[in-house]
Parts: sequence; structure tokens; C-alpha cells
Amino acid sequence: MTPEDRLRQAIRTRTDNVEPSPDGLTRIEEKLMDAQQDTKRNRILMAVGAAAVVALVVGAAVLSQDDDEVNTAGSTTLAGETTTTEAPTTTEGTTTTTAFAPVVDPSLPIFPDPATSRRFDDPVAVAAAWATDVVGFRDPIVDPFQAGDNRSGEVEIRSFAEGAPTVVLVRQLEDDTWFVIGATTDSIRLSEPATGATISSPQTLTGAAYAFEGVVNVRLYVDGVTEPIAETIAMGRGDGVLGDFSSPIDFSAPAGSKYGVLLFSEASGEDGSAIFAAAIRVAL
Amino acid sequence: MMASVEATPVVYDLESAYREHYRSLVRLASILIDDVGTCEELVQEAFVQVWQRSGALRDPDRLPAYLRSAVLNGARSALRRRGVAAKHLSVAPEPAPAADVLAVAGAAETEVLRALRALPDRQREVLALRYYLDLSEAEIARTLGISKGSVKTHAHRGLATLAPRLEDLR
Repeated sequence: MTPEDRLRQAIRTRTDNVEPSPDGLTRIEEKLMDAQQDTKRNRILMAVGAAAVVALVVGAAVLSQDDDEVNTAGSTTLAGETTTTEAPTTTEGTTTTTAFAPVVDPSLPIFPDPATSRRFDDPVAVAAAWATDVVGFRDPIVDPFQAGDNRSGEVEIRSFAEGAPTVVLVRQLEDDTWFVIGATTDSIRLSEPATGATISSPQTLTGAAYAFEGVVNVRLYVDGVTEPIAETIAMGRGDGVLGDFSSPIDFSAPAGSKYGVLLFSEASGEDGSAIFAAAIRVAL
Repeated sequence: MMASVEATPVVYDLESAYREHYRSLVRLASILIDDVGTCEELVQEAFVQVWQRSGALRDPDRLPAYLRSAVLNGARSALRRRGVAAKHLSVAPEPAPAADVLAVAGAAETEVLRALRALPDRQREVLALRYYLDLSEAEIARTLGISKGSVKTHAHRGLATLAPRLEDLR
């Protein structure tokens, strides 16, 4: 008997004695009905939300026409996203801006920047927005939220239906709003720096990865700056096996920067969009 | 299943697909996860996922691969969640083999299964697809979204790791 035959025998011993319960089809049909109802409910909520936004914008426009002294800011809201625009107040022709005051511990979230007013009341929406707006996924497939504890969980994101997931870790850091606090993927594993570590230039990045032609793109962001302040590549392996990488990243952070995000991603060979990503919060 | 018509979404027959694939998918999941109830949940979720996206699936021949991928992805996520949960327990209990396994499998076979589950994700999945479903390297590569060369590498490494356990089955 060859080792392969012995493995086949051990697997058969297990599988031959697994008999599914007879109500599998019924359970699938029930789950499909639930999913369809959820989809309908979400569409209705989105429609109601969109109608409310339109009403607000129209109302604001009418008020603006009625009273030239009042500047009313319009806002655009996506499903699951709430935007608290800076509130302008007008006093005898003088406009002052009240800054948004963050209450989130800034050492935790990688998205959205807690110093801005951008907020999400839905964990799936924040994960999807991070994937598309920051990482560069194009039309990602976003799975349902999987709860961890009562304030956190994960959302899996794939660039295509059969692809392995990027697991986006999300957490409620204010009463009702969700933030991305990190992301992992099987094909990019980070060893150094650790989440929350303080980094300095040049910072050595170590880990293991497999990616198209072995190339992992690395970007360093700091809070308050939209574009990455430094970029480099790490070379893993391209043959489907994790290959160790060790790459330095040089950077010069703007004065006063306290926190940033290290983002590792693999880009599609076809269009450059992201396929997998891992991300950690770092201190500067 | 209806024949594929170019640029027209395929309409799959859920009941036929269930009869054809459900049991083997639950058994496939049971190689990776000890609890059969969880395996059934994973497979049911896989059917739901694929059916919800069935408008985008235009090749009926790929249905088994879609379902297998969804089951493997689900199993990987379930194992990862268990890992995260275990890290937060002060004393993480060693998962005991399911009673049905103990009842019918010898100790050596149980050890092989446990060692198989301890392999890295890809090695574990490649070996399950090859030695349970008898898929070709090309089919495994398509299911996992990796190259045929990677399939060979993962299979070789997985078997090498399991070799001492497999010797005990002589």
C-alpha cells in the first residue's frame, strides 16, 4: 500500500460514516428565502434613504433660495455611510466653521480617518468602502458581516467569486459607527512590524507572501494625508507557496503625524486592481 | 441543468444540484472540520451563495467547482474564527474527535485525520480534493484559483508532512 493509498483509506474511513441530515434541501430553501427578504429589505431601506437625501437636498436648495444669508451644506450619503459635514454658522455675514470633534481612540482605526467626519453605521459598508476607496478593489464581492463579539467582527472581500478572501476586521468604536481596524489574507502574512508598533525610517518589513510574480505592493499612509507618504515592494514567491520577504521602507512623515497604516496588496496582472490585501495600524 | 446559451445566465435546478452534490460536499467539509453539523451549515451557505450569484455564472460545467470553492472558503473562515476564539480563551481546549469518528476509525487513522487538519490551508485542501474527490491537478487548480505547479507543490509538501503518520497505518 502506498502512502497515497493509506491517506485515501484514512479519508474514506471518515467520510463514509458522515451522513447528512435529510432536511438539507429544506434548510437551503429557507436560507435562500431569508436572503431574498434581506435583499428586498435592504433595497427598500436604500430607496427610503435615497429619497430622504433627495428631500434634504431639495429642501436645502429651497432654503438657500429663500435666504441668501444662510449657507446650507448639501451632503451625499451612500448606503450605510453617514457624513457629518462641518457645520457652518452665519452671524451677521460672518461664517465660522465648527470643527468635528473625534471621540475615537486614534490608535485603533485604519479607516475612516477618525479625525474626519466620515462615519459608517454598517460594518459591511465600511469594509466595502475601504476596499474600493483605499485598497483599490474593483467591484469586490462583499460577504455578509460575521460577528465576533458584540462590537466587532469581520467581513470577507473577494476580487472574484472563487477567489480567496481578504478578511476585513471591523469594530464599533463609537456608539453606532463602524471602523476598519485591520485586514488579513492567507497569501500575505506579516511578521514585522506588529500591529500598533511604532515604526521609524527606514523600517524593515518582514513576513511571507505569495503573489503574482511574487510582487507585494506596500504603501504607508499617515492620518490626514490622502496619498501614501511612501511606497515600496516586497518580494515573496509567485508559485503559490509562501515565500519570506524582508524589505525596508523609507519615509518622511509630516511633522506632528502620530499614526499611520501599512497596507500590503497584490495587484491584478490584468488591470492593476487589488486582489488581496493585508493592513495594520502603526504609530509613528 | 439547462444548456448554456451565450450571454444568457444559466438557470440551475437547485434540487438536482442538491441531489448530485450535497452529500459529497458535506463529506468533503468533514475532512477539514470535525463537527458534521457545522459542515452541513457550511455547505448550505455555499449553495445559498452560489444561487444568489447564479445570474453571473454562465458555465453550467463550473457549478461543482463554484460549490467546492464556496465550501472550502467557508471551512477556512470557520477554522480561522475558531483559531481567533481559541486565542481569547485562557486555556484553549484540544478539540476532541467526533464520537462517530472514534467509533469507526482506528487510532492511527484518527491521527492521520488530525495531522491533515493541522496542515497549512492550501496543503490540506489540495490533499482533500485529490484523495477524496479524486480531482485532477487541473480541476484542483481551477477550484483553488492556483496554478497546477502549485497544486503539485502543496500535495508534495502535505504528503511529506503526513508521511510519519501514514507509516503508522501499515
